[in-house]
Amino acid sequence: MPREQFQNLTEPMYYILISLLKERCGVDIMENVLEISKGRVKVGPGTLYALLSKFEKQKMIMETEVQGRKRSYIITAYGKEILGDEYRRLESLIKDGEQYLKGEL
Amino acid sequence: MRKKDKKKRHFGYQPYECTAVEEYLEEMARKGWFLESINMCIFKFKKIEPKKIKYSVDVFEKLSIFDKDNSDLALEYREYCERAGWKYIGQNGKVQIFYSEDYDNIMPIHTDAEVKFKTVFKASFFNILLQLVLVIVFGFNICIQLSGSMVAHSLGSNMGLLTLALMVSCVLINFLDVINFFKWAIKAKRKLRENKYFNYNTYKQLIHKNRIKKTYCVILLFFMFGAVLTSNNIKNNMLLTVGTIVVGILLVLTLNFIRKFINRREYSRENNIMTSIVGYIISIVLCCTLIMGLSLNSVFNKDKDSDISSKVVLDLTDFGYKEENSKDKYYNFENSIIASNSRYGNNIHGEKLSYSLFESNHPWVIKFYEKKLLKVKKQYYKVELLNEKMGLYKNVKVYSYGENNQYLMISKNKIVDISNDFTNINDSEFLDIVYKKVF
Repeated sequence: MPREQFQNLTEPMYYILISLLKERCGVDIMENVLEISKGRVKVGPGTLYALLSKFEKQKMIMETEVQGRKRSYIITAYGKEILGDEYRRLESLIKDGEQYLKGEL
Repeated sequence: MRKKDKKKRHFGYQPYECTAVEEYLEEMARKGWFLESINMCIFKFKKIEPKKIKYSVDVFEKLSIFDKDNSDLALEYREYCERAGWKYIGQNGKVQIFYSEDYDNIMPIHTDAEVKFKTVFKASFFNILLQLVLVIVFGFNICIQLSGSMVAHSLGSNMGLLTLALMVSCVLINFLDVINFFKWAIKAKRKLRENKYFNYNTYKQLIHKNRIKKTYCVILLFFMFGAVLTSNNIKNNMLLTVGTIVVGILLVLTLNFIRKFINRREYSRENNIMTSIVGYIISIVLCCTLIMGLSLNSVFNKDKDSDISSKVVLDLTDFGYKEENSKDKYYNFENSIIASNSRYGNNIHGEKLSYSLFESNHPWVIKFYEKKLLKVKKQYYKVELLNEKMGLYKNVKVYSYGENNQYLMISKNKIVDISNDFTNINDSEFLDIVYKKVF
């Protein structure tokens, strides 16, 4: 069932998961997402916090270290699977588009 | 002069009205008032140079009202917000207020409308559920107050009428809140398709709403003392009213104390929940006991004034017996702005008379009570209209019910509930006497 819920990741979700391919402290993700997306995708702190809790609950990421109030996370195998699915979905979107739109735009 | 640098404002809101509060705070900043701290719904401002300040009234649904302020969870969340450039001001339950002077470029705390909607919805839902429970409890109470012979007291005494008004207002206000919440939820859900967060109420609407609520409370309070001063037992009713208000204030203070107690300790959430529940139960039981004590006091201290006894319209002498002050004698009279209600009972050497008399100059009040009274009598007894059968009076309807010669006599402005317990007076004689004396 949880699979259903994440079938289409939103942009912030996609970038947060990419950001957690490397172990990272929760608060650092905001800046990292901005960096990866070259300033295009912004994730507000409240949204980030809510999404991290949701991902953790769905076992897509896991907590690795707690230092004081700072928690670090990393993506799990299951998380990678979902991220991979999304990547392939996006890729096929591009390919399909390429096939029909090339030359027309 | 120093006092003019600070001001306090009471500003009530629901979590789903958070954007209206933001708007309000930003307007205050533009007028030169900066939010310094919050305590429940009291906002403390200090004077600054007028400027644009961005506020975020943020709902963090994971916080519980049983957590102490500045719990680890709240601090962790705040760290995220502070990293994004928000500065923390204060907390009220699940709501935390942040600000930033970088009005145009600060990243909103929530960038995803759906996440924000879910958070706000969950945070409001518990409150709304509580309000719904209040509506049901008070609604049920109103039904009881307006059923059967309870109507006589509810409409026939100012205190009864006022209690009714208070309960009806409580139901209305809370019901409106519940309706507003669902109205917001439905509209917001629709707006989500465009990935936009739906702002409920602007701050002007919210201020307007709060003002109406406050005015309404003042009017009720005014009427409350009016009702007390016009009642026929000023001293006891005043004691009861002032007592109830004092108890109410004590209750608020106790709840505040529990909150402060939780804030000062490092207990777990479970412990806090237990402390709160035990605290609530003790204070509610104490309040109920106090109010019960006060009302019993007013029942037992009824004026045994001859003044009231002179209002008795029908007593044993009317049936040829001697009226005496026996230990069984009682007489109770109360009136309100729309009706009056009296009960009489006496028993001299086994000759008993007891009745209740309800009077009102408003036909709808009489009709209403008649309907309710007949309904409840019909539930337990066989009720029969006697007028045609016995060729009785034109302007008074007479019903018989029960096996002990009990009667309801109803005219345009009076309702008598009486029973013939005399051994040597037959029913038509009895009814004639009552008719002549009362109607």
